[in-house]
Amino acid sequence: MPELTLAAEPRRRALARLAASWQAAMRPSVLLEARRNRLLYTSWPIVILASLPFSAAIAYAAGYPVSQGPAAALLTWVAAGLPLTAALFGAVAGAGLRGPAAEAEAALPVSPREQAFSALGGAGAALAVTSLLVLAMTFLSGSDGRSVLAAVATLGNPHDITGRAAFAAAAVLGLFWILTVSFTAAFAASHAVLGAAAGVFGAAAALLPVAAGLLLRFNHGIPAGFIVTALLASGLGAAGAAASLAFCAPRAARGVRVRWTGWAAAALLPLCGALLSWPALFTARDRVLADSMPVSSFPDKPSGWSSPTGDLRESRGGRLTRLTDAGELTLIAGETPSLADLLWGKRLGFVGRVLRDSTQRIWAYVIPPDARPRELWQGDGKGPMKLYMMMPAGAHLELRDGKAFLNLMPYVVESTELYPLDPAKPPIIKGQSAIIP
Amino acid sequence: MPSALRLDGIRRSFGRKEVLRGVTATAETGKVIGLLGRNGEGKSTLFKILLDLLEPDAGTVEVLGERPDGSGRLRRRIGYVPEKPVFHDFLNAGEVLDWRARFFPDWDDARARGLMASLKLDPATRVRGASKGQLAKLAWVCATAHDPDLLLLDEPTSGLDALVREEVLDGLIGELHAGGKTILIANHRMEELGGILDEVWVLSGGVLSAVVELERLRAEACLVTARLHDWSARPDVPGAVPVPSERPLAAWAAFSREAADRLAASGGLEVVERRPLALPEALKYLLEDTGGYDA
Repeated sequence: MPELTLAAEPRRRALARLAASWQAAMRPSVLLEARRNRLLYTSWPIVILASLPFSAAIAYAAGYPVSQGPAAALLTWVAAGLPLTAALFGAVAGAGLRGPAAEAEAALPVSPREQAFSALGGAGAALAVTSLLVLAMTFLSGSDGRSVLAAVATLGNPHDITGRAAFAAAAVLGLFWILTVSFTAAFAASHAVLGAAAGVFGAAAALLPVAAGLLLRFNHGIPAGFIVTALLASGLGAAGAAASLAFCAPRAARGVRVRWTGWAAAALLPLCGALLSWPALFTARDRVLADSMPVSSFPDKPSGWSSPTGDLRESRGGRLTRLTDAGELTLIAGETPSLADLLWGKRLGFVGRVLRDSTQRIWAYVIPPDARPRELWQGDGKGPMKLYMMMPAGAHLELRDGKAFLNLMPYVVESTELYPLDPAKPPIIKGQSAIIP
Repeated sequence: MPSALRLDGIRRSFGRKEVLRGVTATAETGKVIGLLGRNGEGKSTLFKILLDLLEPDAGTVEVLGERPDGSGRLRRRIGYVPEKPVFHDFLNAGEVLDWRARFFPDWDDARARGLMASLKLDPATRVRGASKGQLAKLAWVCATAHDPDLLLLDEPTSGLDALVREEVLDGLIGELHAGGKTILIANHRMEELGGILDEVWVLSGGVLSAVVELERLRAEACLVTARLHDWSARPDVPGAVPVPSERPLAAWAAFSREAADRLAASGGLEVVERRPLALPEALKYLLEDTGGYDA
């Protein structure tokens, strides 16, 4: 197979080149990065360790069980401390390659790209060690910590249907993303604070929609996982940041002239995860809005048991549709909830009760999300329904002998306040009684 | 003999300031070349381009037969002493050498330690708090311990005391020269290098305005004094630069016999004196000349 031989040879050569580069330039550069920022990489875990007795003392002083202090501190370190650690390590390592260090290492036979990726690797190794330390301490701290780490423990389990494994993988990629963005920004700007800020805000710009998408998933139980988006966004973000670094490092270090479009592309590359995650969030929102469930129709009293009507479906916000051979027909448009309403789990409008009388006319009332009165709608089911009337407080919609009635005293067993509903003329409500026009 | 350096039309600007405007030169292997230029003329920029630390905007560079490609591999064959040596301040001198050794396959630790001892540099000397002279010595050790083929020395004696300077100039550079290394030296006190230089490149106005063989300069440079018939028609001869004089006499520094002869042959003047120029004076006047010629 000559083709295979030809393909294998360049691959072997490329691997050999990579191995030689690692041995000659990158390995010592990684070690040099570890040495350069040894103080930061060793003192930061000590700060984390020192926070535990401090938090225990605060818990004791506040009258809580002493063990809750370190547990809370460790959970804070896992949720917020590790992303900040990634930003800190990346920014310090990236800015550290410029200035005095650049002059000190100028004559070394290492390319700027090897130098940059070695320093990034050194910072990444330090981040991994710090993260493992925090995770180990969280695991050892008790059951609270272990439940948080359950997500990490399921990493790689193909039978995990909760998505925790993928979420953990996305979290790991997200940390690497923040590290790389911070490193690249600090390297490009020669400024650690700017780099850390860019890392945190750049990653937040992309990770916020991911987090929002996860919230949508958990709040509304949309069937497909937003987890895949989280994985792709984090992975693409990290890869984009690495590609940006590969572009910037040799050009910035050697003063190569680059058109503004080149720098703009380099600035946008780390955000390619965000370019994916924002549309994904809006797609997830649309899926939540499009998600519908069968509406139960109530038969005649007194049996009162509801049963699915089959063709009528309800969506969030009080939207009622009917499945026809020609497709989905909107009967009541409802009020489309905003993304914020969906995220914060705000009470949404919904279809309260649906009846089908003997003439196949559909009667339905919609309960709005706020204190407004319920709306009673009616229609023949072949087109959009019409608002029939505003229902009085406490009134019910009932079906008796195939006819729709408004019951003003639904909780009285033999209510006399039953008014038949005429599609052409809604009853006029006066206090607790209705007048049939 | 093959060329160690080949520069063709090198241009480099920083913002709107064009520092190098087309530097063209060739250095033969084994030559010791002095790079003469005022502050800000682009000597350090040229060194950075040769070290593959800076990309020229235009032109081609060939160093030791290789084109700088940004990989940094070329620096394995180059020793560099910067004007202001910088090292990681968390290391001591011995640790600096240990770290360097990891990057250079041909690093000769015995040679490095020996050189350190001969320069009387204690390996325990902390970089933080080291004197200018100690840093300069350390830079020398770092630049030569991997047995480079090309040495780029940017003010290499800056900060060294007289004794060490002598040892470096007479001993170290001489030894490297004898070993066939090509050396490019930028030094404000070029006269102290007079004994070892083969050539002088004068960098002025962003170009190499003169390339002079030192032996020839030493033998032929002269001060020509003449009486001018008409001061408004003062002759302008390539290879000769007017120098201050008292009227009615005018004076020129001529850097070659041909230049002096051409000056004497130009009309409107009467040569009254022609005396040899000392090398430091010749170099000083050479720096003032921007005429552009080879001698």
